[in-house]
Amino acid sequence: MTLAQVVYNISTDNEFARMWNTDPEAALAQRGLKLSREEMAFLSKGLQRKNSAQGPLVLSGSTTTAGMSWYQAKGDVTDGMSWYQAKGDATDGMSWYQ
Amino acid sequence: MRQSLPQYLIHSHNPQLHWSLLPALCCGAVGGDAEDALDISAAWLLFYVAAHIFDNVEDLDEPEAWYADIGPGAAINAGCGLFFTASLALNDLYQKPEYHDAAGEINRVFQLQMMAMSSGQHLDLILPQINLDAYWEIAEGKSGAFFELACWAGARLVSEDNQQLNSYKQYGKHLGLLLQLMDDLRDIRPPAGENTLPEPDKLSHSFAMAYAMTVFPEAKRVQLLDLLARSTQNSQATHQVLEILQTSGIDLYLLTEIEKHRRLALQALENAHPVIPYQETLLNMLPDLRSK
Repeated sequence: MTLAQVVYNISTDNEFARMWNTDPEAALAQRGLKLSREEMAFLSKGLQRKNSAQGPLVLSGSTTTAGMSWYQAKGDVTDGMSWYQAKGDATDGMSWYQ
Repeated sequence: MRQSLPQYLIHSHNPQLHWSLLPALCCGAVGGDAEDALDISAAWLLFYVAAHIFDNVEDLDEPEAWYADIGPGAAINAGCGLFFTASLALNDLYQKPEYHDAAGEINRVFQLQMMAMSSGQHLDLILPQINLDAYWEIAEGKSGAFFELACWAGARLVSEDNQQLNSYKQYGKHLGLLLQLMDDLRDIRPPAGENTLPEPDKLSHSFAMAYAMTVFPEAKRVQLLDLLARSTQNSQATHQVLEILQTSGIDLYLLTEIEKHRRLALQALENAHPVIPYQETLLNMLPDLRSK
């Protein structure tokens, strides 16, 4: 679970976070961590989302505010996501096959 | 009811039922007649509802309104009825001679995947605390395997191309994992407009605690588990648990995992080369995360 460990280091270790911002590969090497190119891309995208100042994030038709916490976001990223309790789902208003 | 369920699914405007159309959509996506796979869709939905009932009773969740008065024993009985009705729906696949071979394999794989899901559920019940390896193993064994089954079975009805079938499996798996992650989050978050705290037992098996148990140093893990144990009696302890998790990068981990499974599902769909218009429909079924 190196990906989770890197996320933890970025979030709790200022020195690692600073190094990550300038040279992610060097930061990983210094701590003996290794991520695949794919994982680096996922993490970069995650960071971009987290730091996004472009307004509310949208997940399947519902909103949450960028920068709000995973726990406290209102109105929230899970709306429409549980298949069992989906609402505002991406398939709303579509015929069953379109 | 079994015979009319496929038609009901087609015409339903209930978004809760749309996921059950995945088998039919994937059948259409490989060039088959989507309606021929509606029996698989119906079976998949019935199995899901049965599993949902068993899950609620096993987790000692608040009874749903329909069984609040009759009790969990009657709910289990209803679940068993749905389970066997689902098996009968799968047997209807044998009615068309051209699907005879595929029907045999689909029936067998359904049974195997249901067994795998039971194992995932069992693991979830017996482990007092989970790390990320266990979290993803359980998630893959439950939602991942079930959505994988939906997509594979629909495509398998008319296709024997293993590479293509594997792509549909991957699409279903990552879609299922995305939904599991969202469902898990919904379990521990307060409903919109409310300020309630998550139940400690829901929190203990959440992705957030699994993350903490994986990445925290030992002393911090011990502190967190101690607070979690006290949180059943003390809401201040729950606040402290949430605060510790909040400052540990859980937001970023969540966003990264969402991105990961969405990208992998998209990649699998691209490899599957679904035909139009099913390509667009399957694409739209993926939860989106974008900026307005």
